Amino acid sequence: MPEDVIKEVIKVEDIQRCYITGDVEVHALSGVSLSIERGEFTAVAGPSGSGKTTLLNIISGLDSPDEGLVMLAGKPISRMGGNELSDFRRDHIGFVFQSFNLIPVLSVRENIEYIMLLQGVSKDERARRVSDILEDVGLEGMEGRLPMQLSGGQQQRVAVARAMVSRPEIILADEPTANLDSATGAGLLDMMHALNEKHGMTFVFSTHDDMIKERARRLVTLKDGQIHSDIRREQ
Amino acid sequence: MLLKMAYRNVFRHRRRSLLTGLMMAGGCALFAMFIGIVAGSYGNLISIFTRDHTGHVQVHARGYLQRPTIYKKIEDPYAVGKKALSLRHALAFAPRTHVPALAFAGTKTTGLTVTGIDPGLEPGVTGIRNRVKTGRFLTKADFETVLISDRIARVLKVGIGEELALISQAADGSIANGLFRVVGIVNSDGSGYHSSRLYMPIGTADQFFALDGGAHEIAIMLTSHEKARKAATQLQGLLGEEFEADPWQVVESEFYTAMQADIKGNYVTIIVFTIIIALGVLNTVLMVILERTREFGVMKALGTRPGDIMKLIVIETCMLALMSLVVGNTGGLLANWALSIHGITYPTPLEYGGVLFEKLLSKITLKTIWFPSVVILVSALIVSIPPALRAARISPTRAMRDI
Repeated sequence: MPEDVIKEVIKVEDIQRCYITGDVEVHALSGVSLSIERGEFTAVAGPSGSGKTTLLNIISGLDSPDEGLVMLAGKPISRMGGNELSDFRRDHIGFVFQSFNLIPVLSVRENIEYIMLLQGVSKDERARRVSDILEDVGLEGMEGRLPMQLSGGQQQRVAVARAMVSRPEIILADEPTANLDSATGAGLLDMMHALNEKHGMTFVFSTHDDMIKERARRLVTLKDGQIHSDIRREQ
Repeated sequence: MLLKMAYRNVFRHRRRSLLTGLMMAGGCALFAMFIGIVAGSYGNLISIFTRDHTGHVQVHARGYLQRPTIYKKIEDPYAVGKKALSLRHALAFAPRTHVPALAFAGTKTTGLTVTGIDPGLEPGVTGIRNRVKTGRFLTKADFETVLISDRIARVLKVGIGEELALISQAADGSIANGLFRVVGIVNSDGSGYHSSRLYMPIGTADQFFALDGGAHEIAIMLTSHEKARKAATQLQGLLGEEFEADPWQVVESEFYTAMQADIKGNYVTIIVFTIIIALGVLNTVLMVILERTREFGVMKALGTRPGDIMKLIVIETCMLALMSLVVGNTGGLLANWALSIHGITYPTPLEYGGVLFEKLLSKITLKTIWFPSVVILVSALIVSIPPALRAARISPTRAMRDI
């Protein structure tokens, strides 16, 4: 089926992930199955150690399940490796990390451009998209600054801009508001909501943040590595 | 983008980059000095050695060098010498005869080699005139006059103006004997060659040993000792099979072999230098990898290919190495330039291959630049590859979790 008609943008089936630390075996995920449709704004919640980050890592191809199938945009990423997986992540997934993780030696503009450079997007197109996204995230005039010259909230906005500018189908955000004060976190969430509405990208958050849980259209709760609840809400 | 990132990363930890860069630059400068001094010292040594008596190329009758006898002569040495002067880099030639003899003075006697030299031509090839410490050098007008080494003078207890008797066998089978007046004493300090030698005008030697105008050896001086092999080959072509034209490396093969072994011994120092520099670079690159593990993890998560991460680290290391090489080579060149002019004077002259050396001199050659540069760049490149591979293989989740 062509990618553009696949409604189910993320599909995980019966995935298992177990970590061994010394003699201790930790079942991070046990038989998790989940399907997320294009354009959904989904929060994955649960207590610490429930498997939220592991689930996001597996969905993104940063980690592999011991068992089970992971399909992204109709492709089985659990069978990819090396450059194929790197290229797939570059083209299909945008990341927003808890601790921003901007590249310190690159300016705001260069950080945002980074993925487009890897993709080989033309200079004019990059300039146009950077200019648009800077306006979307409210960072006009700051494109020349280095990450260390920005506040935490501003850095996270750059991270969101970096994740979205290459127009991936899926944005994965691992506790994006955890290192921000509540007002900044709320502002960031508003911005991501607006971008979700505007561009129709699929957002998946792992979070402890009640504000995100309340505003997500779908709330998946994990407990002991299994899906405890999966609630869809009308906004 | 990789180049830009690499450049900025080099200046990200300025102090560390500066220290590593200084180590590489210092290593490069020392390396260049070492090579310059090796080239300069051995060049100087060869120059003094060949100037002392050997010359750069020698011509003998075929077989003379392997088994010298009075009978193996070059019949027309001046004609051969003129042919030698037709070579592009030839400066001068000097014919010589060598015959062993017994010398007597009063009740004293000693064995020696009688060397006939052309007083007009010999100073153009060797520095024997400068070795005359008392008395005077021979002139074209001299006949039955000789120069003796200070050792022979001491053994025979003869001085300037005194006579000594020589007895030997002439080339025609007769007994050669005669009285000769000493006009000069040759300083043989540190030279085994001069210490057992008596010099007389080649005309006197010709008559005394019935050589019939022949000579045993023609020494040729070139513009540089480095041209000796090529010139000897060319001259051999000009002279034909009757003669043997050999460069100084063949004539003084023992000296040359010993010197080559000595030069090879210096490679140990070069290897030690390289290992020290490589370990320093390795340490820095490993620290970079450790400190930036999270960053590499993020880059991989964003879709950077493992090969690009590896390239980034290798480019950073090479960039730092190249910057260091500019500084190091500048320092090395300046030091070699100063040492090539002023040198370092030994507290006491150093004896090598029977010749005394007073100064350690450096020499600037292309090798003083390219060799340290290549060794440092290649060793930096090699040591950066394993850590770069490690960074390229970092698991993004682990990298972002561990740090």
